Amino acid sequence: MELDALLVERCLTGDPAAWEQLVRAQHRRVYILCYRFTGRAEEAEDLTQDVFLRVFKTLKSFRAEEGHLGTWLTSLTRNLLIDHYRKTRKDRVLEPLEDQLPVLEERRAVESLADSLTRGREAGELLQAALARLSPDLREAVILRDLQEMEYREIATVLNVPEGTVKSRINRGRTELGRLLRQWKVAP
Amino acid sequence: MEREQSKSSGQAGCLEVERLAPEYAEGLLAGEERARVERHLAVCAACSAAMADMREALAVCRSAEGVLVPPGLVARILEQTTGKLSWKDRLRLWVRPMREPRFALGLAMALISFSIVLRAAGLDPTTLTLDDVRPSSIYERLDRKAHLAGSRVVKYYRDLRIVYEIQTQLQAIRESSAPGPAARPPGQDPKPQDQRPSHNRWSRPAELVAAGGWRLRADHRI
Repeated sequence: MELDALLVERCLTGDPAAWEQLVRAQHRRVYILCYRFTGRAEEAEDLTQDVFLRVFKTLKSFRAEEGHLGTWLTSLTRNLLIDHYRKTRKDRVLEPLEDQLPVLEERRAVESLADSLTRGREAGELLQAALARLSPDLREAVILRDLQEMEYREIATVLNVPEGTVKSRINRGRTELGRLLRQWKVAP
Repeated sequence: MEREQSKSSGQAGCLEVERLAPEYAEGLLAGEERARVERHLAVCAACSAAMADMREALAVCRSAEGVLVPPGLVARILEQTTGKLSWKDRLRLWVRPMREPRFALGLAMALISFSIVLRAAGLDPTTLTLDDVRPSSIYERLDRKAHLAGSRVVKYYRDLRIVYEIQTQLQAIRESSAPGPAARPPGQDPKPQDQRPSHNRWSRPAELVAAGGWRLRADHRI
């Protein structure tokens, strides 16, 4: 936390090198979260830039004693994603759900998806399609725990809910995710 | 899913398993807690199925390919926040709102409306030139169209009146030159077919036209 505080302090004095160091250290985390939530690379890139633009303007509001810089950034990113989701909800209604699913008809049946999906790209595609089917609150909980590997306590801070609620959402999110992935198993 | 009560034998109930499920699925539980959960999963089909789904989801998450960050993202962030934007990034920022479906729909409606207005103004959108969109050209076209439309309306109603008056005159001439009317029972109106204008050649078209003050063409049309 002290390192975070020092870095932020340098950024606030207008040190461009400190700002670049902060961006390089955190941009990957922010981009991955945006990509996993939206499923679209272009949208994730635009949102990542929006996040850092907001960080640049509101960096003075970061309090090192309240948590890590990464947690604060994740919280800010999550808020932006939810705002974006609400703004674009009407547009998504027009998209048929079938367009959000990968083409699975060519895949062969397997006993366990985890065994068969040895190729990371296939797993990634299926995962993105399944994540898109989850409600936003379950989706963000699963992403933060299983993909961003954040602690339950940190996730509770980011989502501003009790830790028990976080675990409950992760349970429901994983269950629904696993059910969807099993349903998309195709017979030969 | 029925919620079983926690049994005194040390086996966890569904509620307790649900609370411990995240750590158990990740393999973080140990000791007595882990044993209690496993004993429950052995006898509860619903919890066992849910746990299988959770493990499947976790396995896919862990095996999914890592996300590739676009090259140049850091540079664009730095340019946008602290430095000058390149012309490409400026264009991207300007074009970005246009990628939304709402903007595309609005743009399509605007183009359709514009095309309709151009057609109404007498312009063909496919052969449009710069000279055609000058305000004076548009005004002249619209003025010409309005006068043309007005002239047609006036002519139409004048023609109607002419036709009506000719028919009336013809009827009058026919009645004056015809023999006395056939005896009809009193109170009986003439039959409708007697009042129909004749479609035969006029007996005195020139006199009729002169009486109405019109000029007759060679083909006997007005």
